[in-house]
Amino acid sequence: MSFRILGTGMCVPSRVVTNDELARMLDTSDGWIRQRVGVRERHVCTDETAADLGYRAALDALEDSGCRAGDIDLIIAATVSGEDTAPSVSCSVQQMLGISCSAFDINASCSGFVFLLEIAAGFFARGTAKRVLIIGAERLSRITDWEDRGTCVIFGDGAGAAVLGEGSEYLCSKFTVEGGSDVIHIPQHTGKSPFFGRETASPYIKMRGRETFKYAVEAICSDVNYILDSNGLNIDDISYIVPHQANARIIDFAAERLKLDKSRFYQNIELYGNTSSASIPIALDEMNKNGLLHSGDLLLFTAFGGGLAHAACLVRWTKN
Amino acid sequence: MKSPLCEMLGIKYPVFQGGMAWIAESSLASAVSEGGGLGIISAMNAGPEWLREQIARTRARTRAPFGVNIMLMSPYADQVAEIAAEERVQVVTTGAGMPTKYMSMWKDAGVKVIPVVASVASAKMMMRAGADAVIAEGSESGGHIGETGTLALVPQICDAVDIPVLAAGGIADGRGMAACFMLGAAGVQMGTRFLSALECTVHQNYKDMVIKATDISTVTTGRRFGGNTCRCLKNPFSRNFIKIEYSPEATPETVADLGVGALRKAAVEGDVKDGCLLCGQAAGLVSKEQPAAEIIREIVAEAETLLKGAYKWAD
Amino acid sequence: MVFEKIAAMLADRIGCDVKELSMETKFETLGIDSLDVMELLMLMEEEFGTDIEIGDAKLATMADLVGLVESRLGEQA
Repeated sequence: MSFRILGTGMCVPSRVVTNDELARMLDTSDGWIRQRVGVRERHVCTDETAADLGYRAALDALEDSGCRAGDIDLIIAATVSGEDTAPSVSCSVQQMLGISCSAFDINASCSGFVFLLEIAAGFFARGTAKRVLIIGAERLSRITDWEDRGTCVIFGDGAGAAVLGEGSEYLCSKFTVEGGSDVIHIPQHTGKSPFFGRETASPYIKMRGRETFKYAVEAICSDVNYILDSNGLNIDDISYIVPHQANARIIDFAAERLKLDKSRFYQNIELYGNTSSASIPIALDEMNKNGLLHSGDLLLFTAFGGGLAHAACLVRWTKN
Repeated sequence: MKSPLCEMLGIKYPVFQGGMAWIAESSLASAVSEGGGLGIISAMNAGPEWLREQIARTRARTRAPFGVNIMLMSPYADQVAEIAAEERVQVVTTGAGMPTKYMSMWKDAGVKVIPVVASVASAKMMMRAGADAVIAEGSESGGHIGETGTLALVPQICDAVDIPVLAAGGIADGRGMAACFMLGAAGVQMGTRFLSALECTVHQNYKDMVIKATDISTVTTGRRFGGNTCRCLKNPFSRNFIKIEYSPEATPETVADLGVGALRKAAVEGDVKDGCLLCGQAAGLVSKEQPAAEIIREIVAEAETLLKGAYKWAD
Repeated sequence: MVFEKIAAMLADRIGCDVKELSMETKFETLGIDSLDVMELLMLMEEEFGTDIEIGDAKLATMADLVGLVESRLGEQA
């Protein structure tokens, strides 16, 4: 017993920031950003919180699924950029939905959404939930150094959600963690304890671009091969590979190494930037709402990021 | 009919009787097995003790091999899977999920594992997981179905795997059986045709409805919210179901609730108005009650005659 | 040998004449960025069957890249 996806939803803040606008603020250019990252524009919060985005994505997913908020037994949210540690994003969403189910957050960086699917599957397997709402909600603009042209051009804000019901469509998953690496580093506020002696770190995303690239490409390749081989499948059996939208160059090179056409990978980083754990559910929602998916389609999610961790899974889509 | 399944399973004819919930129990299964096919007990959502009893009763009536069908989403799946291993039934067929976690337990007990699949990808995954054969079930079938019809599905699955493939969905006579062998199948599974077996203990009202049915008597429900598409006979239940399913206030929850207990109402209580009569499109070919053994002999004989006479089309 | 392999790979990828490449060639002048250089590095890893950790190495020219690859290969030998 695992789950099936009953509905999806997304929400991005209305304020769009184009590369040209960033080029007026920083020493960068539209050409450089497009070539290096593949982003054309991203959405940035002006007064929305990660929880607000998560709430609206949840409403969207509930509508798509035909479920009522009151049907939800459990909300789990993945985030690294929620404004409050407490109440967590999921607790805030619970309150905004006006329901009283269980709720908690997880932090698995950009691999968050795949971890959410795995955790939800566990609840279904134990029979302790019939309807689970999972959300990836990020306000990365909060933890981005807006003076560092190497990083602030990459990220965007947004949330994606899915409502899961009983079923058996979660077919395979793999999780690989290479813990402790600071190739991707997001410090929290060091705090002002008079007893703590370590140096203060600025609480913004820092990435070693080249190593991140290498890690990500290798992660995608090994996970795609694993999922196909361990299930006796080949790429034609997969309708779409849905990667974490980290950087278009990563996907291009991974496709090259896997000897696949780029079109096998769903991409929308152009429009949203890297939205960490929200990127896969936002992509999934777009595919769903644009009629790209048909009942029986096999989708391969592949995520990678801070931890360092990478995670992938195979899900059968059953909505028409 | 020659088939690798006969040797693999120790059966005379490569004909399975589908594991139909509330319908396939020891009486039908033992008659099919005695008749040379593979009878299958449906473990459905019933508990382990019921299954053990059915296995015992089947063994009291036949020494021939038989199988158990396990619905992997059942809350009793773990226990029922264990019983199949403990009792060393010859075959387990599975639906609604991946049987991977039980595979080594069953293999150790000498049980052959034959999952029902409705897509090429599922067939490949089952083969990879160690299945001994697969049942390629097309959408003509009664009960839970996939997207593709038997004629299109079976050859595609045969191309994709190198374990034996049985065809199911829409087969009710020797013509269907012969056709499926042409498609590459090594055997067939039938459900609807065996509903009319004398030894089938489904309520007489249900049998009568199946016998009266024509080519357009079935309908599919559950398409709107996906994942649970089901084929049944048209009746007030199905009409009401579809009306509610497509109403604006419908939710997956309310729709799923409608189905609870409906099959039992029809199969056990004989309520053919408010019960759900799962049934395949081949019902139009089912016209009388017969002993299961006779059904099998007839179908195999007709298939053999047709296949041997194929030179009349191609010499 | 390493230079020849990298030059051939690079010429193939960007469609230039391999004879135009020398140890002094700057990647920037070829219009390729740090991720292109990473791609080359990863292709070299495959070619030589070895892992090449990049650390903080500056890779601005062909010589830099050749040097890095050779030093990792040298460590292996």
